Amino acid sequence: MSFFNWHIYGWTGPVFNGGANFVEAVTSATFQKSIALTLAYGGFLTLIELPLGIGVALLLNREGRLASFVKLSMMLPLVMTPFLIFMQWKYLLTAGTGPVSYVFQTITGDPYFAFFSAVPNVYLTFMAVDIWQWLPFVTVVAIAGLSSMPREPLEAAQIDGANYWTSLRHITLPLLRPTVVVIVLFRLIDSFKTFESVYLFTGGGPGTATTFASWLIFKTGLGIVQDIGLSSAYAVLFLVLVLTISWAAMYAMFKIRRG
Amino acid sequence: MTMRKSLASRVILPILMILMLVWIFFPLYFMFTSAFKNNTDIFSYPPNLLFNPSIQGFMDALYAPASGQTGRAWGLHFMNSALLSTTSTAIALLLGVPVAFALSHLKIKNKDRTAFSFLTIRMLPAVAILLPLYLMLYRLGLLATYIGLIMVYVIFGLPWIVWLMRSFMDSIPHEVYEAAQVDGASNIRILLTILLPAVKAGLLVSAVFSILECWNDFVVAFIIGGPNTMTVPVALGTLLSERLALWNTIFAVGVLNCIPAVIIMVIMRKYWARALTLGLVA
Repeated sequence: MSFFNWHIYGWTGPVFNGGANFVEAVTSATFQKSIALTLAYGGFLTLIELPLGIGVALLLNREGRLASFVKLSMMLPLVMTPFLIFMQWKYLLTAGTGPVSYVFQTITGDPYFAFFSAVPNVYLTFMAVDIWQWLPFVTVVAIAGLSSMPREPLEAAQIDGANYWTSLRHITLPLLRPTVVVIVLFRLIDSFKTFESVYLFTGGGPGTATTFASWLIFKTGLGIVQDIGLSSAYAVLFLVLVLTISWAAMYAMFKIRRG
Repeated sequence: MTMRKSLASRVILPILMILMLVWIFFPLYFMFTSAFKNNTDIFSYPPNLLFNPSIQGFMDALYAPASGQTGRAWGLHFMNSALLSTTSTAIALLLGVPVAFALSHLKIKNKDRTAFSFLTIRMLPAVAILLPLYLMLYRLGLLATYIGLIMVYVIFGLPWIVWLMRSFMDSIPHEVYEAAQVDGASNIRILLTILLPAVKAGLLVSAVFSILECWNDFVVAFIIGGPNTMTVPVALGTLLSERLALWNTIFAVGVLNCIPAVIIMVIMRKYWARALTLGLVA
């Protein structure tokens, strides 16, 4: 499909046009920007969520009623329908209804504090929501990694008089490495799928500030213009990129697991 | 263990944990309480923390739509969600369990690559492959039909089934399989009478996660579904284009939509990490 000039509403049926779609896609500033945005967003989120999530996992990886209740509660964002999560945040942040927007308005004195319609804010909003939704994933998986760890090295270190932080740095974290690779793989890949939040929050705006790759592909192919050829070319290029990244990560993962 | 008795672990750690709880629960609190507000309370601003609980949202959702709202057949949408997720999971189990069995215990070529290709499905951004699927289903006349949606959901359910079942079957010693083979049992018989009973829990976990994947999906149903096959998340999305967003109705539906998932979460909390990573972290 990516090799045809093809618009759904019949102006142009599938007409072979060589690689013109790919040339257009690769040279398109919109596409370049959305790919860069998608990669940067995913990378940045992973960088924030990984240490934070492991920190929370270390905090919660202990006995006690409070810790197990927090552990159980942290699964809630993971079972909830993502679309509902975004609706819930849209409610919280919408001026005129939401409690969070009320608090922000009171603090800043700006009655229309822009969570979605100004450029640096919109990224912070997306990231805060993503952290609410996905930090529990990192934590739950990291706790599983921590509890499946052999106990002997840690006990040996304690007998040798190592304190908590030394054994964390030299024993726990290195042993956690295979788990970390899995977490990074899944967080990166899932962040590339960002779609529902764009649909609900911004529609890709302001301007093209939140036009992530998935949204661009959707908008180009099935939005107003319905340029199937160009959209497919975007999709093919994006898939190649995502698959390259995930295959590289999976390769690294299996290499580490086999030792 | 000096750490355990120190000030830090007695005071600071519980405080941090309670902060975590607050962070997780404050949006959920507002969602849950908003579902029980009436049509006046929902629009009061600043949002009132104290109000008379009302089930107007639930009534509007399930029976009569309020003025300014188009009626939506929530019963139908819930039926659609349930029907699509269970049917596609049943088919995915039928296709995926034998695959998992083969990848775990049979001697076949290119095992790792085959397993890899199923994992790759989990990595694909749905939107990027939905466009060709959209046109294919359009040509087949299956756009916006149950069959079309189920076909796509089976594809997305397969990685859960194959990888989770494989990880559970790997935990059964290969000698069990060999012993049964020596006794002359066929592969199908070994799978059905020996292996599957031994991994009942695994079967349940992978089925549940495949169901959840579909139950929680928005993108697939949004792009290739139609008015008749509309699932709950897609129907919720259409509510927002209304002039008045009646959040109590939206969240009433949302709370109902979450109940099955939350019950599953509590029952299966032991398997959660394993399932989320498709068996990559045990």
